Amino acid sequence: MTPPAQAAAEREALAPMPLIAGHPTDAQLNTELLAPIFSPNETWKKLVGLAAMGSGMLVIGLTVTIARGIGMWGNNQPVGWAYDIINFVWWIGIGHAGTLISAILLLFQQKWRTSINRFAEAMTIFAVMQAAMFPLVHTGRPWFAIYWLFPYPNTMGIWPNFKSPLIWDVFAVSTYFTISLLFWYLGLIPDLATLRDTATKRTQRIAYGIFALGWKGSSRHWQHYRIGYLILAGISTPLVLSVHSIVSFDFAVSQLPGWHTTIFPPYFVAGAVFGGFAMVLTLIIPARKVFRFNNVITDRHLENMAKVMLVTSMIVSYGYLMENFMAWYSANPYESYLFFVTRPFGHYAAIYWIMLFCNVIVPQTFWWKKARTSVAWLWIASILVGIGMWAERFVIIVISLYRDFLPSSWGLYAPTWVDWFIFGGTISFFSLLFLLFLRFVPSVALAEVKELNHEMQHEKAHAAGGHP
Amino acid sequence: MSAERVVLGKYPSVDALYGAARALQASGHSALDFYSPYPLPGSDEVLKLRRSPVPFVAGAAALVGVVSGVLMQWWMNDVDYAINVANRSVVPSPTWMPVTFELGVLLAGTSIFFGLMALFRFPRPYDPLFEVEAFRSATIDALWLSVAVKAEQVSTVSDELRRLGAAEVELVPEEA
Amino acid sequence: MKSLPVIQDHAEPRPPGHRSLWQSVEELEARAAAGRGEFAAGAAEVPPELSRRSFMQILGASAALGGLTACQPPREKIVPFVHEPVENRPGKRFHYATALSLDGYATGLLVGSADGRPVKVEGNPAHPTSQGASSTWDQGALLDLYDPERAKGYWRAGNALSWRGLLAEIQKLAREHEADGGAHLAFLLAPDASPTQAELRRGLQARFPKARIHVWAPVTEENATEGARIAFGRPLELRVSLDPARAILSLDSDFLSGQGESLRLTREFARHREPGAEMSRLYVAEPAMSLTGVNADHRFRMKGAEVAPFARAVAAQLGVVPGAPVLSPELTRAAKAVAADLAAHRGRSVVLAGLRQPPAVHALVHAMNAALGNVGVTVRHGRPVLGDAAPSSAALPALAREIEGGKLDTLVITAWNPVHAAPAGLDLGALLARIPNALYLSLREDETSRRCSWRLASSHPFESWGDARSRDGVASLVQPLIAPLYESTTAIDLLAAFLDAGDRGALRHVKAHWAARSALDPATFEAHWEGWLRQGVIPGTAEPAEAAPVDLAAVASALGRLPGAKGEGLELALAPSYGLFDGRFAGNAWLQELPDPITKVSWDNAAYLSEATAKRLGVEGGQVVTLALGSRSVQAPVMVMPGHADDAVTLSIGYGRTDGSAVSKGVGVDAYRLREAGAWFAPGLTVTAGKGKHKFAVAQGHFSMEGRPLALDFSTKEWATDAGRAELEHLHGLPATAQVPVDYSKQEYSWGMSVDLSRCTGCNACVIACQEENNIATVGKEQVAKGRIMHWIRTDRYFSGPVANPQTITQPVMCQHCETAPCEYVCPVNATVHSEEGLNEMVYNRCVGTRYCSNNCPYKVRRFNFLAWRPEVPDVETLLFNPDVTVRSRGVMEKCTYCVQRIEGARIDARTGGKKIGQVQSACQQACPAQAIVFGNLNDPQSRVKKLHDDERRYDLLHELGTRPRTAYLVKIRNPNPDLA
Repeated sequence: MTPPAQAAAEREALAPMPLIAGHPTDAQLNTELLAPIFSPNETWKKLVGLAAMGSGMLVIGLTVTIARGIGMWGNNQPVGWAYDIINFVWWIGIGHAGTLISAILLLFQQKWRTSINRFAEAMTIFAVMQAAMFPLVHTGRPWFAIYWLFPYPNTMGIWPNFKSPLIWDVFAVSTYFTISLLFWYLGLIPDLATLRDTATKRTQRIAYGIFALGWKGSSRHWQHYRIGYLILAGISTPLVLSVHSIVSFDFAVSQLPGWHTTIFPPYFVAGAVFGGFAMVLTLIIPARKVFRFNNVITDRHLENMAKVMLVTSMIVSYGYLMENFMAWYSANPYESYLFFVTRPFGHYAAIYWIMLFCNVIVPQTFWWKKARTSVAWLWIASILVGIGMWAERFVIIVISLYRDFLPSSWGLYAPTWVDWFIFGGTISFFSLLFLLFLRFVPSVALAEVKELNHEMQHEKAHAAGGHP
Repeated sequence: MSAERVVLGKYPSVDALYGAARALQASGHSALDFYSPYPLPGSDEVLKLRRSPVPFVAGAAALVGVVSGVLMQWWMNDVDYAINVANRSVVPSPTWMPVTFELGVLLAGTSIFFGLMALFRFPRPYDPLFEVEAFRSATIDALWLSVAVKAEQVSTVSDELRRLGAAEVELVPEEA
Repeated sequence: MKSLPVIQDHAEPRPPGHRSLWQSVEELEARAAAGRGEFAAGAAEVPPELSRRSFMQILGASAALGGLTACQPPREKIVPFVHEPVENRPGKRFHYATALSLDGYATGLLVGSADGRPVKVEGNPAHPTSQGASSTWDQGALLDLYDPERAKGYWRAGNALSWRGLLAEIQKLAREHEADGGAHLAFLLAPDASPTQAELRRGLQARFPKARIHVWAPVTEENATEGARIAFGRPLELRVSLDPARAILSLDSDFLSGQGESLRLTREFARHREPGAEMSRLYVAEPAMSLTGVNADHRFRMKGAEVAPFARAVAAQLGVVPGAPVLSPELTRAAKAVAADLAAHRGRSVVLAGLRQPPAVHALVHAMNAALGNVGVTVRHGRPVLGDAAPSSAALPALAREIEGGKLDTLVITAWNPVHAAPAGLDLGALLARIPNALYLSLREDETSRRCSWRLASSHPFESWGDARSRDGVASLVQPLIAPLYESTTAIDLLAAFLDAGDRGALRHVKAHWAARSALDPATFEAHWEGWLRQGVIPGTAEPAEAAPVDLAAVASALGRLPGAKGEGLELALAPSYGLFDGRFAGNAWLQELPDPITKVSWDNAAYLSEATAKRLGVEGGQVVTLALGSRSVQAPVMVMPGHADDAVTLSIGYGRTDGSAVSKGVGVDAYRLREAGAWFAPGLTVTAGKGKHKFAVAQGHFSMEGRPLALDFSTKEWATDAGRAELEHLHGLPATAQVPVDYSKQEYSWGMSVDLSRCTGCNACVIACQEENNIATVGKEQVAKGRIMHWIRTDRYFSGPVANPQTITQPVMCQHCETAPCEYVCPVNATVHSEEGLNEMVYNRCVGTRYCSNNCPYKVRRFNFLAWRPEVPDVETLLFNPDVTVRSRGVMEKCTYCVQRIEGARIDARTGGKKIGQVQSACQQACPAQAIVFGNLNDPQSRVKKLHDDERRYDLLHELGTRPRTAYLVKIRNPNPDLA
């Protein structure tokens, strides 16, 4: 090897793994990334069938709930909230990573974002759809809740109570869903136009043409578009933080030991990012395999996500630690009992320990590069973290409720088949939406990847020119 | 008066595109536009575009959201239907903050999206440009330049575009 | 004066066997079938927990359709209570005085009637036994009245009879039996002190001299009667007054239980539980924890058979009888201390024996009371009120012998369900089937009616005329509140029918009896009669006290004959249930669902045993075991009861019904299958552990306070020091808060409540009173087990100290109406807000059911309608509803309102009268025999509640949370004997 070649090789080894593998042209990228849309996949069909069947559970679960009442669930006195709110918080937490990845990484100009942001945003929207269902159906009378929670003028002359965190929830979740949807759609418009122009069938051209709204890639449009997209990303960032803070207020504002905690907002946000990244990994690893996206979703992306999970896991762990510390330091007998008796040794202790294992121990493996780059382990770990985050919400909600102040009112909780149907149903319905997304919408932000590709080739050319 | 026609030229690189645009501007053509699959850095300067109004729209909308949020909560809970809720009647209440913030973001966000739609005059599912089959590559991998000219200038401008390095030149058909 | 309001006034009574009855049942079957398809679309199957309810709806509706058409129009007038205005206004509540008897002894009641239907039972303040209070059973009677599954009409061998037809048939029967002097005729009557019935019985004896009249009930006081016979030579009844008593020894006597005179005794007992010189001290010796036991200052646990030796030991210490038995050192020390305390309070003490104890113990108690100089102060003696109608457990075996001897053609049964409650081994059902004419008068169809050839529906006491006497002899008139809902008759009418006087109507019999007895001229009598009806009591009818010297020798010899307590082996102890008594309330969903005051088990009984015994037997809670006595056995689930005596198993009677209404059937274990006639304790029980696991529906699963300051108690000694009061200082007063407190002092009214834990005995009367007043749904066993019981007020019960014999405290908890209510600010739709008078209001119409309020309520007093507990209420059950209280739908949160409807009712009255609201009683307060609950206006410095809020014993529950509750608790003071510390 000649010395310059050797130096180049060494440089190559030190440099991070590439964000886009190979040197594809725009046309190649186009063909590669739109392949799932134009060439049907058998695995996809089977998965859709499965997810559709699973979504049937959701329909059954919701029908039974609305026809018969919340009593079909396991909720009781004292456990007024259980799977309904666990699932709500879990899904909304998952729904946070998407916007965070997309918006925050955009603001920080993290280039690796482009390959995964579309996935993440879609995941946000579908997860928020699952989440938004629960605040409504968990009420005893959803047919009233659907509009009494909004401030509309009525003959009773009564207004919602703006002191209630549940009202904040309504505003936060609906705002979050609206903004996420607009953000996602705005990002999608150029790609839909690309699809319209790539498609050869007339029906596809018309369909995608309608959704592309008339995008032509005009530089006069790009000018407004980029600024608008950036501002939208800018306001989405505090929005994400606010939404999960507000979700945490549902608990933090109350009196209940285990809920009444000032650390909740940051700890919930970190938990959301943590759980959300885990969900992105869980989805993206099989998707990139099935649709052969390895060129644009490279191991470096996966590794970066593992790093984010490691950091957020440690924030979450710190939250656990501080909760316990405050319970001990405050010497509040009710809190002490919850944190030192009920959680570690109570009836649901197993779930508490699962939470600690999945959320605290498992991510510690990401200190090792081997763990960060092992796709199989990443996938397993991401699923474990998903379970851990669900367990965390169970710990917060059910374990705090089932033993509160008066021991006379303590009572156990057990989910019913309807609870499981709805939980399983939301996972299926989420999967169904996600599969449809993969099939019909560019799942990687095409325009942005092309832009990145262009920039990287430009840089390379520049570097090559600078050091001949 | 003869109608305006749009002539399109496809260029292999950004530099060629910008060069062509500058040459056309020098020869008195100002109704120029570029079409590309991704935003082109520097295109604003080349096309001499004014600053986008989008940030002002968003800011104003956010302000409206915040003010209306505060007024709504104060009026609804402390004026129109004042009621003792758990002895918590502090004006202004810190409990107003979440809803106020969310309303600000909601209005800002929606105003950006719908503001853009208004600026683009979207939705516009049909455009005579789409009649040019080759122009489809504008959203895939090609760079196009458009220039609006008088009908009688079409052929001279077409030649000019080719001379400036256009790989392809197309005339956009007249709107039916 | 007004005529009786009716539901439906038919010009002509329809014959009960009218065809429409059957038509409606078929219609209902069709409707039920149609209804079942309703949920088929979404839910593949109707979950099993709902099946019982749907079954009840179907049955209920059948009753409503079939029954209402058959009621007899009333022709008599009834008279409202003395203080009520006479004009009738729609929506206005009238109270009528009447009386309810339990095993023959009456409690005077005032029944509130709204628009012609009784909707609320209260105690009659003018009646000596109730003094305005009422028991769970008195309250529960109302649900029995409107039970859609009540027996209807008269049936002979499956054929319906009209009332006239029935009378004709009975007349024919009576003529036949008259011929041989009634040699083939017998009666099995329920104990009843009714003077009119006594007269009828005399008439029957005159007409049928050879007929046998048996009186029977599962729970009898024949041991007490026999004990009095030993001590005094004649059956005198003990009449207790606890007011002067400073030292009380209960030998297995559950005098706070709800039976007999417990309302008065509870009031007198509670009155002396406040700290001070007047405070009494209660010792209880018993096997299982009873209501009386949990209120004891010292509770000595021992097997049932060990109570007698303990009593002898105390008596020996007092020098009443010689010869102290050998007891454990602990019990010897106890007996010594108790005797010393009793002796120290000579003339102000009382010793009581329970009905389960053998006659010798009762005799000994008489001797002890005499020796302690209590006679004439805390105890008096009088002639038994029941007289010849006292129940005897020997009645059923005697009857069985008569039937087996073929001596019976006709048997008239008014006693409650003898087939079910018959002694073990006596198959009365098979025997009854052999009698050609077995006439059974019952409120509900049950095991006995299935075996009897004649089934006659009994009217509910609230539909009947009659008379009754309380335990002290005071007579009351029983007047109906409503025309019979179904074709039915009364015991008086039935007995009169055998005297060819069945068509006269009960009223005339009662009136004739009292006219003759009063010996007044008709005009004066009429005025008196109306006065008695208004007042609810007939003056001058109390039994006078009789002096009776105790025959000590007879007592000693009876004691000598007592079998010695076997040290070894398990003892089975049976006990009446606090909910169902002897089983007669098994059809009453309120009483079934009412948690047992000690174990908090709902919809079940269980084999209670101590922790040590459970360990020794190798069984654990919920495990199904076989309890065997000789050849007889039952399967029962085990429950470990703290404070239960070792080597003993307690099982309450009244459960395990195999027939009857849907509510009663299949709930719990039938303890009668192990019971010898009249026996309560049996040695030689074997317990075999089984494999099955039983799921109890327990309303309170956790029995420890976990060291939290919730239900506070102090001993008199602790209370006398400043340390006790110092502890309370942190538990009341204004908490630190960032909020500026709303000033309620300028309001005219500011409602508040106080609960005195020293007074509360945990009897649960408040729970049922609240359920009745506020239209609270029952949810069934499965839902109770799921933690969805709906009671707005609950009596929390905590144990402290050793599990073997813990101290117990009961604490009624209802909505605390916090001034800074945690529930309110979290409600997104303003469905729970504060009133200007300080009430935490629940706006059902606005509620969407997020349940956040319940989660944030530290007292967990909010109740959520998880399902439609009453999707379709049978028409007859709608009559039960208090028209002043909303019936909540599913998906809505509900909770205690401080009986806001009563406040508003009083406000309307006050406004129309141009006055201030005077006294308002909440339903729980009104029922409470202990007067532990006080409600009123905190802005009135004279009000009792205000004084109690300022009492030095006052504290706030969970005060440190800063909720500022409007309900104040007063700490319980215990009065332990320093010698036993």
